[in-house]
Amino acid sequence: MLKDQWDEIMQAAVAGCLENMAFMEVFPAEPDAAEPENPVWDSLLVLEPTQGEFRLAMSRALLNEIAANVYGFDTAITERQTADLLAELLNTIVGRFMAGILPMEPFKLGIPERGTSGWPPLEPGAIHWHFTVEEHALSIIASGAPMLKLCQS
Amino acid sequence: MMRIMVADDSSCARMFISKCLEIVGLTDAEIIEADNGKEALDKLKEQAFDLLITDLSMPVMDGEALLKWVKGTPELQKLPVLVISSAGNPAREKKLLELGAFAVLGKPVSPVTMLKTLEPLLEQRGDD
Repeated sequence: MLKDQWDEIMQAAVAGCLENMAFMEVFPAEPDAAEPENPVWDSLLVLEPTQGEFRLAMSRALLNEIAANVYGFDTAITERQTADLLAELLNTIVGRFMAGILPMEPFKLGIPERGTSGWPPLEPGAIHWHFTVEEHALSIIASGAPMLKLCQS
Repeated sequence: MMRIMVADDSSCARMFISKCLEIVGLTDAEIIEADNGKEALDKLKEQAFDLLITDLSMPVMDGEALLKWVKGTPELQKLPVLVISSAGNPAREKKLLELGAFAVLGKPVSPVTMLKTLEPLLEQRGDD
């Protein structure tokens, strides 16, 4: 599958997730767009039939806006709920993406894990997607040589 | 009143499913939650339910193992199982339907899809 097709599938996965869960519009941003400031991020491994890792990062402000849309503006949202939401967003986006690139092959995902340090440096060859949601930056990174082999440049 | 078991390790997903059920008119349904397949199975063995909604990727016992347990247990065999997961595609859906799931939906599920999927079950309950 070509990189352009991966881009389209990722765009559809992110838009489908945020529009359905939080009623928020998603726009693709330029490849050199700025990273989210002081990002909160989660990581999720693809276990089968190939191996790779996805990371989703966004600012705390964007995560709070999404949480308000999902849980309701009149709800006192706990730290546990926002953490759970970030994990669910990553899980849903990656699931939709993997179903798009491997429609006829069962796949297995790990359990999302919270990034505990700052935004780690990019692995060589990793694919980086940038989006804008309500004027905030949102980033997704795919890495792992076995999975990236499925994408021809 | 319908009793529904929702098994998902994400409290956010469980809340989202509960909201969907409410929107489609199941406002008086009793929703019992479990955050993994084992916890769901233990509760299913103890109490009667009308519907099991389960995710696939969960710690301790995943949704596919839970589905196999339910369909392999004579007392639970007839329990309708709806799989709602982000780890689904046509190949996985086919396998889950063969294992006995009555429907497989992708996340995030919309109330319209939920209603369309549950309609046969709700009609059947109305007839009983």
